[in-house]
Amino acid sequence: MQEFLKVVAQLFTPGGELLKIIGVTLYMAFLSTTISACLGLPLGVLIGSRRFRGKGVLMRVLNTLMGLPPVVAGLLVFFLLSRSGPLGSLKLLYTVSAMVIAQVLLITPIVAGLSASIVSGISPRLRETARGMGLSRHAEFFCLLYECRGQFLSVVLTAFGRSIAEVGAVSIVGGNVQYKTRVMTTAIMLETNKGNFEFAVSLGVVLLLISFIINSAALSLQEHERKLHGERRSA
Amino acid sequence: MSNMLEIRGLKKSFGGIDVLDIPELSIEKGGRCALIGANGSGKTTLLRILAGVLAPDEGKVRIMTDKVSYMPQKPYFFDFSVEKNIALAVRDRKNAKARANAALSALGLESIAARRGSSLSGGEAQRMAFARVLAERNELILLDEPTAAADLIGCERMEKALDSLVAESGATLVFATHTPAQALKLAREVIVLDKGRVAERGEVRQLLYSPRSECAKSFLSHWRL
Repeated sequence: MQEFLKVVAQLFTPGGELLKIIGVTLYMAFLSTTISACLGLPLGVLIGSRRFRGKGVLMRVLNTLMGLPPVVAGLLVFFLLSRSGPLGSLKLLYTVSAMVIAQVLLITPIVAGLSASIVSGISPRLRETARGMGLSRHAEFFCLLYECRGQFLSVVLTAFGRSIAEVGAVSIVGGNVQYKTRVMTTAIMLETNKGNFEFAVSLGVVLLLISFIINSAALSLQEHERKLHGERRSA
Repeated sequence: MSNMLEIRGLKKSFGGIDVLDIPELSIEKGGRCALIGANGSGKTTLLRILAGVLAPDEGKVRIMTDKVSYMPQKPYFFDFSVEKNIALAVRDRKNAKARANAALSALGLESIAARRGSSLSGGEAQRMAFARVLAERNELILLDEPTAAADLIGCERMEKALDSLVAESGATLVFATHTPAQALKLAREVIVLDKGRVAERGEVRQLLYSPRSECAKSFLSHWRL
């Protein structure tokens, strides 16, 4: 309990290490989720809504990448960004940018795979009705995006959850540098290795709380929309 | 009278199984044609090809208008209000809302105009899809078992509204049905499909009361007209 109170006290200490760790964690998670959503959602919609040769193989590759072990992704990005690697001149290793790159590599297949599966479930019936109504391809596409919006939010939240909880890849490419690349998960790992179990658990609780607040905010947005529907329904 | 649609050498198969093989078929403008046949006889596939939803493997399909309404067996409803769902199908954007409401009134469904499309029951969804067809007022109307999920009152209203629409606009109507009585009410001619082929075609009363093909005889023997 004492350790937990210490963590809570640190939360209210301006310029403290914990606040910096939370800041880096949120920055990394939000940025990597946003980039992954920008890449993965259109890719998923494209794969899910079109019929083309090799679609089955592509889906299998995506599903495999969804289970990509974080340490493998971290290792790959490490080789790319290390001094002797092809992108070594960018000097990104042990920076938050490197962590974001590794996260994007991990999360984009999840976003693309899940959204492709959502779209392919809705698309055939929607396409048949839209064509029967004489809608243009553009209108059909926008209707498809609109219909999937709720599920897309869930996909993005899943990606965010994966990003904020990730430890393997970010510790390899971020290096857990104090005040620079240390995030909640790597801090928990460090404290566990040092034997500060209570402090580590307290950090874990804070991490869970952050995740809970963000998920609640996103889901209440969804509920607000549903309530609006209900009002219109009874009107 | 000129034709509204013409089919030449049409073939379609799924997974190596032939589901449609129609060497020649045409329906004239203003025609009212019912497609009947057992399950799997190719009615839905033919309608989907005519609607442009499905491409044929072989052959040509010529539709003489681009104003086509198609109501699938399981229509999809967008997560908008019912009114907006119907208005979306109307090309004349200025009058879309008014036409959507007129279509709803014709079916006695004004009370659910504000409900979400995704909240409708099966029968309601089918009637809403039919309201789309009414609001569109297109030149070619393709309906796939339009009243299969509707109750008796709903079914009667839909048949009456469709009859009025086709009589007023002179649209060409092609619909699949499992109910010969419905064919009798709405169609002038009947096409009997059997394993993807046209088994028989003829004037509605003549065909339904005295079918010639074995397939039509067998199919109609289960119905008391």
